[in-house]
Amino acid sequence: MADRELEAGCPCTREAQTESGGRRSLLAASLALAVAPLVPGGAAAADNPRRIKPQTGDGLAYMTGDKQGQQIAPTDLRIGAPPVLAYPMDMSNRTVRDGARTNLLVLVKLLPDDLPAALKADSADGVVAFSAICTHYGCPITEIHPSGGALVCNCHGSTFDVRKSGEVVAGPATRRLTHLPLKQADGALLVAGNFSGPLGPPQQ
Amino acid sequence: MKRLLSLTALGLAFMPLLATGASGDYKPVTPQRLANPEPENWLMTKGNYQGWSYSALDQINTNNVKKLKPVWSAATGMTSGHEAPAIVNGEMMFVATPRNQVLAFNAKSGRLLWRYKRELPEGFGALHVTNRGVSLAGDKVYVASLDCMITALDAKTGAKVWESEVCDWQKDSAYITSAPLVVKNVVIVGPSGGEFGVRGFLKAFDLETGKLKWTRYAVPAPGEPGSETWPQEGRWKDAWKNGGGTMWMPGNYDAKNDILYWGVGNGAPWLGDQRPGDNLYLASVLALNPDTGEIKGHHQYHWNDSWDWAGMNAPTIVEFERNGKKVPGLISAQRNGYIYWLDRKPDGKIDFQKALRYVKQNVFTSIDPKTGRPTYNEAHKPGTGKTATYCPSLWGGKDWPFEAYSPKTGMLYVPFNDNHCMTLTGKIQERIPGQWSAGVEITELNLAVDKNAPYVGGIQAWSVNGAKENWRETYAASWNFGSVMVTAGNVLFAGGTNDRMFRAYDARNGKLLWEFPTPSGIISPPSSYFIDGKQYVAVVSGWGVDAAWIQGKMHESHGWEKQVPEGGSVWVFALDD
Repeated sequence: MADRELEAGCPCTREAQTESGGRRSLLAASLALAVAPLVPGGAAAADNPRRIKPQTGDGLAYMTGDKQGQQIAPTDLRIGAPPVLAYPMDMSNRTVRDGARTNLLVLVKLLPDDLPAALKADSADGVVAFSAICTHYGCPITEIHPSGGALVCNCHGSTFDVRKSGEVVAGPATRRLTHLPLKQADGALLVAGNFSGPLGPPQQ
Repeated sequence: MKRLLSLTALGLAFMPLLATGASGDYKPVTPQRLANPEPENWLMTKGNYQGWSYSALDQINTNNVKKLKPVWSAATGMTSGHEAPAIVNGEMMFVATPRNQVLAFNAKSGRLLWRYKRELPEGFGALHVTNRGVSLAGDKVYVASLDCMITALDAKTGAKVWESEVCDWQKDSAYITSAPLVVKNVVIVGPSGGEFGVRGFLKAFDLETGKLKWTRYAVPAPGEPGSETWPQEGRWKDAWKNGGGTMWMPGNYDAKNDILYWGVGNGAPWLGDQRPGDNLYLASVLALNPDTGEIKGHHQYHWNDSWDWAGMNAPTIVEFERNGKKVPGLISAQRNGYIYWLDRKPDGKIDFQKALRYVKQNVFTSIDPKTGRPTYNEAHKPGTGKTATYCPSLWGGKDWPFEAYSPKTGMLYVPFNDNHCMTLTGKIQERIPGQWSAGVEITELNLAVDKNAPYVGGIQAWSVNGAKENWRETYAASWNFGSVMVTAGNVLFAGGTNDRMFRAYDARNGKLLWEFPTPSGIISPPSSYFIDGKQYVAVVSGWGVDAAWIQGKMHESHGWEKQVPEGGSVWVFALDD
């Protein structure tokens, strides 16, 4: 029963859980809109620009550090450097969508050759954005593996291979990390679509 | 066939009626009943306010326990660690599960009466999803949830009566696993989150309305008594704001003197050099006024905690016999590897009597006989940029599982783990809401278990007045993560091992009398009750959380089975008629 509730509350389909893709994202988006009224708190979230999910055209803003709230450019990221935590930002009024933990993103930069085809289309200048919510117990993901190609959750060590579109390669998580399509415009990083799959841990 | 069908139809039709009938005579849980619980019920997590985990029932005894048989069992439908005991009032049993479901059963037949399901918010995250039990008062059941809410349910139906916010999971990274404690007209609970930099606190809510009555922080704010033990200036002057000291296990209550005793957890971050000073009231027991939350006394087990040796378990309330007199006392096997004997005064003051080591510990070099304050071997104290090895590891001589006390044997029963050490290197970790910021990489929790050690887990039985160990049971190939319960029949019940067994020992000498393999491992406290002339023993099987994590580590280092099967189930045992 709870599983069904989760499915309904999740902006994705079973199909979309396993792969990314523009058409599936569109389908997911329409489903998300259709089920929104069923989600508890959905009305409040819909009214609150800080809580709504990332919107196409949103910029990305630093979550922490000296540049907190400032917009991120692809050139801010370096290959092999620690990942950057970010929230989507409404570019029309610079509202940072930090009202929901599920909006938290983790950004990494890879060499173009290290990006799988499925991710390449959703990257911007080698930068890819994943949901920062670990699919094990929901901790934010803040670390990069020394290999440079995997994200590591510091809570229980779940490791997600960026080069395999967020597949679990170690640790207790069982669901891949979903990503958010990006594009580049005028030197800035912008959101280019919806999350490719479900956010956070599966629930019983 | 026809008859069978009609019976089935009748059964379906009558089910709601039966459910109402069974719980229609639900006996309200009054403050008087909580202060003097009847032997036939198990009204709170540890059985009584003193924290004894003791049942005065004696139908099951050392002679007949070998004939104990399962009476009923029920799957909870949940995986992960089940750490809540079966709470029983009359014929109703309440079991909380991971992710904050509550199941109500008929305690005699095992029939499911209702099930409360909680929907966790999207994006919710925590280190654990366990729950350590419900509490009862009046005609309500109280459960605190991972997403920082306390909820009152109607005991007969499971319908929600009220709900109040205890903390903010999203901003503060707090989450609740503790069972609440009901005292007089309030229900009291505090969140977990020491590894996320939560400044620990308790909140008390009105039983009927859910209105907040008081809040007590474990770390004083500047200017409050005890704040002088925190950095006043310089780099760490704000350390108190995220200093830890979460109070994540239910306290005990001295109803006669109206004093609440509550344990305070570890420091945050773990490294004491990021908050120089004694750091009151980390790793302490607090004596509190239950009407206001005012601090009446305290004892700090160790200062400037740097080992994640949380003092979260409240000491057990006992009476010592000293020079032919009864002296009000507290006794507690602490995570730091020492058992403490403390005197409790009617005004709430706590006096140190003595502390004795019960597992290998290489940090304390001495303990002041007057104050109990230890001195440290600094080589075994991890720091920022400093690697140190210490024993016992952060899981301590005993982690959260409950000890038990029998007034019949005069012994304290301690589920323990020994022969394990930890090497940590401290660093400065940025605090990101929801993410581990204990000052140590979680991937670098270097646990080392002595390969030549004859055992890791076990149970120790200590004479409370004699201050001597009387017997011990040891497990060669398992840690012990189970609470113990002792009965007036001199039977000690215990799970906690990776072989999934539920065991009964002779409480007088530790002789194994009976064992039964359950579907998963047991990390929930056993309980006992009595209906229609029969004594029952209940326990929830459901391995997970740290016990599972350590099992994985032991697989790597010692070749133990990698996993203990997960999946929760309630088990109830009794003797044949």
